Amino acid sequence: MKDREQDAQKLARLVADSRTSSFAPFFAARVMARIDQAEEDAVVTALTRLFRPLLGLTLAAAFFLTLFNWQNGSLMGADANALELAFSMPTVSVETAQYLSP
Amino acid sequence: MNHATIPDKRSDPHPTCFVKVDDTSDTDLIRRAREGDSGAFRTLVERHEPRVAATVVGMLGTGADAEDVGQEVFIRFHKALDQFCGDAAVGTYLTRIAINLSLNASGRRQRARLKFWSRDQEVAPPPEPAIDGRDIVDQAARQEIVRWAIQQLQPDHRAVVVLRMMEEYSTKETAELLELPEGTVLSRLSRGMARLKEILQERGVEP
Repeated sequence: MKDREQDAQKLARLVADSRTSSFAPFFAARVMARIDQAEEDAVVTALTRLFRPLLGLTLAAAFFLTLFNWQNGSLMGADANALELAFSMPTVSVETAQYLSP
Repeated sequence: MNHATIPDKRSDPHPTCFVKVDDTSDTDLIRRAREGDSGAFRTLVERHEPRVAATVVGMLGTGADAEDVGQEVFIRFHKALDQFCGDAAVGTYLTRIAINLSLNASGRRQRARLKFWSRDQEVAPPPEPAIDGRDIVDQAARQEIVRWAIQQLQPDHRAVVVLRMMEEYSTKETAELLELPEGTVLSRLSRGMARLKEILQERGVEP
């Protein structure tokens, strides 16, 4: 009985002695870097979540604005190309440049 | 094996848990960490790394997944800072997270082994005991063999052995940490110890 008790105590000591008390060096720095990264990711996720509902609305607004500009293309002059019509950009000429300069 | 013979060294095995001054310091560091002081949280990590390392490395051995689990323990703690009410000591709280994550990782590792390993692939053999002229096993090699032998135990037995014998928690505390009845802890400890002794004897290490 006493032998078994001593055996158990020796085994317990052997296990306790094999205890590892640290990870690789700079463990705390690696943990902090992962926490910082997780916080950055959280900001990106929050912004994505915030702006996702606005995506459809923005695309629809852009589409209608382009359509509106296109339909009023006659104001841009006959020689305006598709891009100028869509964005309602006036054709740049020497006359307009002189007109716009102070 | 008589479980009562295993000494309960709870008089002062984990000063961070049971010394009032350190508890207060932890509380103060947690308060500062909640306010966004990353230096305070880093101090908590440095202070409690030994205990988390002992639990995780005891459960998973040294390696990349032990490091990952160790980091994950502190990341979860950081996320739960606002919910941490201080009912348990920080060390005990971290040990609970560490043991649960280690058991999950152990299960994943076992499933992956069953899925991808063929039958003729064996677990890495244990280190050979270094023997000097007087047949005395070198201390470091002996410890390595003990760590290897602990890895050969079933995960639920290993968890009890690590908490009770390596971390030196009492049977009651071990039961609380693992959410098991004390009787189950004692029977797992007894079986775990018996198996551990067998494995060590097979490797020529006498307790």
